[in-house]
Amino acid sequence: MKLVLGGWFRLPRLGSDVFSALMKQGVRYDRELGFKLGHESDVESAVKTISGALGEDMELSLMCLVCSNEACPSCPYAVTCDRRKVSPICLCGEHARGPGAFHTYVSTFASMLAE
Amino acid sequence: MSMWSEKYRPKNIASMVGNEESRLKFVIWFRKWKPGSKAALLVGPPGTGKTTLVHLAAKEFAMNLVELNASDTRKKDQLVKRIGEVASSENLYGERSLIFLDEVDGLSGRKDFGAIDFIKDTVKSAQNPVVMAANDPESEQVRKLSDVSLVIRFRPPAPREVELYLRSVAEEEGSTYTDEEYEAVVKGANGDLRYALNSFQSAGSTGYKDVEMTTVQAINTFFDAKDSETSLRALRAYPKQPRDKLRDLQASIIRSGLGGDERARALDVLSRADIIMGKIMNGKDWRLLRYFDSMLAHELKEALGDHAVQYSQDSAPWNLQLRIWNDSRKIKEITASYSGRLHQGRDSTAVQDIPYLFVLSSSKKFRGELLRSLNLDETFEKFLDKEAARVKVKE
Ligand SMILES: Nc1ncnc2c1ncn2[C@@H]1O[C@H](COP(=O)(O)OP(=O)(O)OP(=O)(O)O)[C@@H](O)[C@H]1O
Ligand SMILES: [Mg+2]
Ligand SMILES: [Zn+2]
Repeated sequence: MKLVLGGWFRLPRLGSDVFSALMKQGVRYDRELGFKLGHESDVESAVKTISGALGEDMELSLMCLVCSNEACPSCPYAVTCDRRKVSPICLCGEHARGPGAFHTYVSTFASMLAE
Repeated sequence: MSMWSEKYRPKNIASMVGNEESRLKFVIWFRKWKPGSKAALLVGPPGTGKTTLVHLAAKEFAMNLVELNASDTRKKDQLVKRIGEVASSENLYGERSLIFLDEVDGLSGRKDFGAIDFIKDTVKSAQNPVVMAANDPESEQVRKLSDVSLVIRFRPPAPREVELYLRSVAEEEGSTYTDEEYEAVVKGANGDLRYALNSFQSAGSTGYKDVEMTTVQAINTFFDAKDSETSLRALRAYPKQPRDKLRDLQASIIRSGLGGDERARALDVLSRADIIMGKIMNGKDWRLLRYFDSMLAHELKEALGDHAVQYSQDSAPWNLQLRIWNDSRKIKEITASYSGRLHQGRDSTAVQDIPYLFVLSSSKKFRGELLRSLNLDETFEKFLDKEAARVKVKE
């Protein structure tokens, strides 16, 4: 299963033990939207819990701050970056490099701050 | 020449990188704070921007910043008292103060647990917002303080964001680097922006041909160098393996009769360098060696200041010190009990005494005393036997 950090995702019914483990690991839950892993979550443990319960490996991807697309495809650091441990937001190939990239990043975040 | 981690600090909260949700959460906490609210506790690894964020927040919100670094033991008692006063006084000079207790996991020992309770009380009755920072989420201090705090986790920024920041710095400097150079620095930094900026800075300051030197020449040139270019050149010209280089530097420093503070700081740099070296070796990423020398030159010279050191080749017992770095669990445990006994920080003077303990342990009587007084079991006896046997005291 592939999971984008910072994005909502659904899980099949996994039982109350798994659910309460996920809550303890700082996973957010919303009836409508499902589950979400973010900066409050212990991503490493939560991923273990989920993959244990589903019996399959999890593939993690970070989300681009600017466009909300998946950031990891095409990333030169994809092999070495431990996505269970880094801060969960990143930048996609289009928004990571190039003239104006830093400015775009900063102004995107500044507008979130201003809200 | 100022270090880039100083020169290129972010100018405002928005132009930091990484930990977007955490920065946002902190700002919201800050905006909403009123007497009776919780403190904020920023927890995360070095060089991720905790201290920076608090400084920038004070600036952007035009607040007076009252700061205490908890690991600065000398002034601690006075400062803790002052924090108490400021925290409880309403709107000093008509403005609110932001109270910042940095590195709270630096509070250690039994005495400081009193300080933790004091901080907790202060937070509860504070008329001004209190923010704290710490590295270790598992530490006792963080656990205790999270009762009265909104805990905000910091993590290493993702590599692409570190690179983005370096690129913005390069643009300001008017320098160009290859993608490979960025990638090497970013990978080596592991999300530590302080480290990333400083190794990036050193990486650019080259452009000479390496010359061959003997070990003695290289080490002495390094210590004598008045500018960072020369010291870096000397390290690069060192003829043996990098690990030997660390050992020679260390032996020379220990033998130099440097004061305790400088010595501790310099040895700290070396032990950090040793860890990084281990990473380079494991990852087989030899390109990083280039940045390694720059970093080492920079930090070590800074730690030593103007103090003179000369090459000194060493025999036992000093080279035992090396193995203390090499993560011997036994040594760590002994160090822990020993520092506990002396009420010293584990990373300070106690560590430097350990080789002496081994030397003295060659006397059976001393060894017995030591094991008993440190509450160590018999498995340590064998270990100490071995250590003691290695040591030949130089007359
Ligand atoms: N998020 C960031 N964005 C840009 N630069 C940063 C960031 N974090 C740190 N830096 C750079 O690293 C330097 C050190 O950062 P800072 O002192 O804030 O780290 P810290 O998290 O408090 O680390 P420590 O745990 O060692 O105290 C800053 O002066 C700045 O140059
Ligand atoms: Mg700090
Ligand atoms: Zn994008």
